[in-house]
Amino acid sequence: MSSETQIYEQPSIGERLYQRWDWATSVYGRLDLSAKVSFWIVLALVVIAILAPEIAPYEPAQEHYDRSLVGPSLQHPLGTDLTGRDILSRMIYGARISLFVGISAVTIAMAIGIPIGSIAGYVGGWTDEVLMRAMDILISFPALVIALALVGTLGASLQNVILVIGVVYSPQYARLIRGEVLSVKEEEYVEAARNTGLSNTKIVTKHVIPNSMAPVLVQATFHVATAILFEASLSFLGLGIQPPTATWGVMIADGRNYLPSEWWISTFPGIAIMIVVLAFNLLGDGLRDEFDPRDETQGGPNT
Amino acid sequence: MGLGNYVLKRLLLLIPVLLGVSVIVFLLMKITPGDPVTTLLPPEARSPENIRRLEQRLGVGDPLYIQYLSWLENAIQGDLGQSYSTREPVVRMIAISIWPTVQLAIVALAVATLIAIPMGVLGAVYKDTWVDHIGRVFAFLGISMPSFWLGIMVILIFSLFWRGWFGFQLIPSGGYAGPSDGMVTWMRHVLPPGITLGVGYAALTARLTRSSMVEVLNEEFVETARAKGVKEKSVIMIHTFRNSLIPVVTVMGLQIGFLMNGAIVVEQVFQWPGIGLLLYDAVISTDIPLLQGVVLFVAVVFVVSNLVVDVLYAYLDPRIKYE
Repeated sequence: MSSETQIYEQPSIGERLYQRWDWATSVYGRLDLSAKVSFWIVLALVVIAILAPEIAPYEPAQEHYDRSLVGPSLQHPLGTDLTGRDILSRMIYGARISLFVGISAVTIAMAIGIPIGSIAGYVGGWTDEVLMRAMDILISFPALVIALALVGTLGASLQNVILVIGVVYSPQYARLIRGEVLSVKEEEYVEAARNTGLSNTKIVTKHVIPNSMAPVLVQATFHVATAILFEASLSFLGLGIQPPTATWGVMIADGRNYLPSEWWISTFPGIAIMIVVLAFNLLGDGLRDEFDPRDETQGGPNT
Repeated sequence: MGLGNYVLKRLLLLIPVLLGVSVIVFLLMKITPGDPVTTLLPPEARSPENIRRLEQRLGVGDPLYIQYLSWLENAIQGDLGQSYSTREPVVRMIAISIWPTVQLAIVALAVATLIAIPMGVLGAVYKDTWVDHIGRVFAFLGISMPSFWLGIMVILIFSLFWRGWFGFQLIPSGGYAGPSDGMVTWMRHVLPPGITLGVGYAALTARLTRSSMVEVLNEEFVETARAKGVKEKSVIMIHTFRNSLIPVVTVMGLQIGFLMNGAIVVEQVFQWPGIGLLLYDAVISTDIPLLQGVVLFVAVVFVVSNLVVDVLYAYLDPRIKYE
């Protein structure tokens, strides 16, 4: 008996971590160049966001009235705004907001969409019909239109922006996971798990969902990109995160008042958005080629 | 199932979706803080008599579902109420905003067709060469650029900087001109926001054309045509391109939502008086009837156009099963 348990012994945490690391590096190794570069840009963004207080040359809200609207210089590499706040420092802190909104909105979307999609797919019948019709209704509004309406009525704040983006994106995870569940449901190992008397909840959470995660991960990478664009659009319109918090969208809106002479205020945050969103999109594209090389029309940045 | 039954089934499925949409739009009013009666009545008109009459007209005391049903009844009859800020009927305000947005959509569509489709075809034919790579970079740049920022940059360079460099503005820094204002004036006004809107749309279209072409290029009938000695040029143009256009046209139609999202920010940047700017104004001034009207209108257009595109797709491509 003891020799048998020896054979089926679970790998230790260290071994499992090593396996994960091994898997991750092999995935990375197969990515194309643009996806590799994008991976490092995303990693750099994470580091910048975490270390913002350490690397920002100035406090983001610190005003220097004697240095109002100074152009790019050694002292202020990307210039200053009306009250002499350093653009570069505000952009570094803005990275925190963008990343935080992007990741938490997508997490909320998954937290809503994955259970709904799994239940719809696994249970089927009327439950499926009702849940997916509800998702259809959410998809019936162009995303920014319903987000604008909701934020406009609920009030503009960081929490509401994250919540609204999360809700608006959730149907896509529901649809995605439902399709996966439908195709995985009849697989042998699920059949086997059912025969061992495992409860439906256990089967779905332990077997079905983990085996459907690859396309979800790809979709999530694209969604972080669009969520960052979304937050920037809402903040730009004055309906997202409110000043004086430094966000890229707010900075671009603010800079509009000083065109054309103080062009740097609007220009640089826009470039930052573009680079970050591009990096997430290219990384998503690379991951899609890796996990699902066949289907290029699914889950693209168009969603 | 034949095409007729398929259309019928899709139309029937439309009913619960549209009802759901209307419930959400109706509830927008209910989650808004503030009392519609005080918003609608100027302070000097707030006599108890007036308040009572308005409450009665708005059905304030009725249960929620009665309020919803009477709102829905009015909406179906084309009465979306009166704007809080302009006192005009919401339907009329929406009606006059449609044409400006349609103009932008046409320009965006033209940009996508003229630039993106050739780009996508080239990317597929020269797959994995530098042509494809450059196309890919441009497409992803277009998708990743915030359109409101691109709009500001267009105004900055071609209007504001241009004046400094050459003494005149190549384009105005915003505002509306229609076809009746003369061709040149119209183009100077409509092209900048239209092209700005078209960049992201074109980028999407280019990617889709490419993947659709790649798929068809790998299909058997293309191989057969090649084996029969058909020239490569006609293989690409006649056999492949025509077949891959079906999904492209479909997806371009399905991206009306994408265009609508873009129109909100682009119209705001260029002060272009379309549906997007109307929605923005409604949100900013918490003009709830106007907000409800625009959201409902956009959602209905979106749902119906998706349905039309789906049916068209099923009609064009006989391989589609009507599920």
